[in-house]
Amino acid sequence: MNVYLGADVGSVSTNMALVDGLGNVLETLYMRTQGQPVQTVQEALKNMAGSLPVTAKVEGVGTTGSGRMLASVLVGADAVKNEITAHAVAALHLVPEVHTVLEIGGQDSKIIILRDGIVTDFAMNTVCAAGTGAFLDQQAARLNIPIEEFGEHALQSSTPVRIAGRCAVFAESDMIHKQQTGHSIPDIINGLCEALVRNYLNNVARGKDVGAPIVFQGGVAANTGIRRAFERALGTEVVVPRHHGVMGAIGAALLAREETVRTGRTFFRGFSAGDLRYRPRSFECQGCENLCEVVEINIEGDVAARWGDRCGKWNIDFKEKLKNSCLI
Amino acid sequence: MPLRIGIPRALLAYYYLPLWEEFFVQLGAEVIISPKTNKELLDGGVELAVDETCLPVKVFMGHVDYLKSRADVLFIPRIVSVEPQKYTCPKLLGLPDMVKSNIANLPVIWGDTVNLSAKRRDLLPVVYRIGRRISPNVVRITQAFWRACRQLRKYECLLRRGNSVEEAYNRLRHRECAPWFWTGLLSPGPAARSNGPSAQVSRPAGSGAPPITVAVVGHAYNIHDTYLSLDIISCLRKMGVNVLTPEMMRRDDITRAVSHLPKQLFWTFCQRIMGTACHYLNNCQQAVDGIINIAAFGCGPDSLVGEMLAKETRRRGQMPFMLLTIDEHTGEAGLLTRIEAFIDMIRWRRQRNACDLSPYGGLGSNI
Repeated sequence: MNVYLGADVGSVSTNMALVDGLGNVLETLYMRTQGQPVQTVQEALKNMAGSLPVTAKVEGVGTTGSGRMLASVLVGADAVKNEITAHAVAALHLVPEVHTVLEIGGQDSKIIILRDGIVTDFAMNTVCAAGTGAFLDQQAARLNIPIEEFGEHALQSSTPVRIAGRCAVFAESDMIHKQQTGHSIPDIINGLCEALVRNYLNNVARGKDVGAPIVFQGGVAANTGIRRAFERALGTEVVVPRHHGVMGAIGAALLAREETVRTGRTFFRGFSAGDLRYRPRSFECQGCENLCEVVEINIEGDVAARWGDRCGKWNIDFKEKLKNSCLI
Repeated sequence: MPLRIGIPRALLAYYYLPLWEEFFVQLGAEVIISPKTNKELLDGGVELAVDETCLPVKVFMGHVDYLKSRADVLFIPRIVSVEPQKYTCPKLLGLPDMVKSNIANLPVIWGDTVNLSAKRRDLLPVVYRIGRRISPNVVRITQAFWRACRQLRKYECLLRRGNSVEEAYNRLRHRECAPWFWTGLLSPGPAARSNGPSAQVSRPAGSGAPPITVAVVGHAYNIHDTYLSLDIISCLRKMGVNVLTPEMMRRDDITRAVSHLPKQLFWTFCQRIMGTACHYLNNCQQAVDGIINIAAFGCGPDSLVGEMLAKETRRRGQMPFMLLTIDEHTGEAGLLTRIEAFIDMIRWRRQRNACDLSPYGGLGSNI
């Protein structure tokens, strides 16, 4: 059986998904990146190897997310795609008639508008990460509530409490103020969910043609409080797909499938890549005044890839390198 | 020893540098131009400028700071207006004052006022006033100015042929433009022949499909500053995308394109941005596949024009449009993600129109 692996290396979580040749999702994995993308990707690879069906053979790998470059070198990816395209592809695959994709991840939030199965418009949060997963995590920790139960608490709210959601820092002081004046925790959490949705709709989704069917994905989609706040604000049902947390990884796997079907080869290093010794390092190039920060990945003491320079003099593409070594 | 005149390679230098340089060189002065913006110049400028100014003004301060110890005179004209009934941005109007109040130990500053809002000929007295500071010979000044104007026309001609500012300037310096320039005068350029794009850009040979063309609209000093814009033009060209900018447009196309607006924009350069976008929205939906608007963080006119553009695009429906705001903290990753996604969106749409059966329009391949 041919399977395709997708990896979404984000700021907060690293997700992997295994998709078969027909596009069925076989296996998914959600891990916290915890600031160590290399170790986390390796760990995730090992876990995936364990849950791989016996007959399965990985025919292609795709990476996405902010760590897509790094991950692509680690696993040997065939498709390296931005997260907007990956999320759109996954949403279309699972909900073919989708019109609007709301995606809220660890530090990113985006909106993707689709018409007749193609992306027609999109937007990403620019300077502010208020209302993304990282902030909710922080607030859950402060209130001593496990993040998994955060949404449930919001649903128990009976009285609306208005929290200022314009900025994460002010939202926090507002929440503390509301706590001190004696509002109940569920009401405050519900107020926070509504504030974040308001902020999202006014900033990221401003001027966008939000229409049903609406799919809500990304890690924050697990939060039922936010989902309900979206439904209330938009006045329509919001669909949260079963694999909402790993949609980026599913999209990457689907894109890898398409790429390898086209090229007929894969650069996948195999699951043993989980045991290789990777040593990333970075240095400041002194070649000109730009002082580019160049990143270099060593695998078993050998330079595998380099990027980050503007002029391209340090650049090493791991695919070119693999191709050349195959020729020798 | 000739007089050393420093010209910061920032703001309006992106439009007029060949004119100024040629004028001073012809008069026998030595012209010192600051290098392309780099990290050091940007950081220096951010430190010197007041917080509320826009990004390109901050960069300008960095360039001035670089030049202040290397030149005897800094040429920082107060350009109020470059054409009748139109003005430049308020921050350009106050530029010499901002420089004087923010930077210490400055050499002499030539902050002559250029105001052509009444009539274009108002430029001449300014030219002679500046020229006389270097040479008393009126004939020589006239000749220098005439040669400088010719240089500017060549430069603008090169830009209209699809060169970026840097390419056009380098070609001009290496006198690569002469035959082109003259053929350009004799036969109408590519812009005049078709209603299509005013310029053609060489592109890497790819598949048989016509290349994607994107209009990148914004101020030249943002788009063509390879450091500030993270070299968006090369970035797009590397993806096999044909890039058009307002500098590559013919002026009458721009004027015609904005004639439907109920009120004309009174900022020259914003009108060019608006006109370029509207030109492609109005007549040539086929000529470009999408419009990217680059705005500098803190730029007042840009924020208005960006909003107007978004509205115009929405009103006409189909054209993919994206606003990118750049500031001194802009990370390459975020910008690249958006550009990639934008180009993906265009590819996808094209493949769908061509009834390609591949499910995601061949997006699997990397760009």
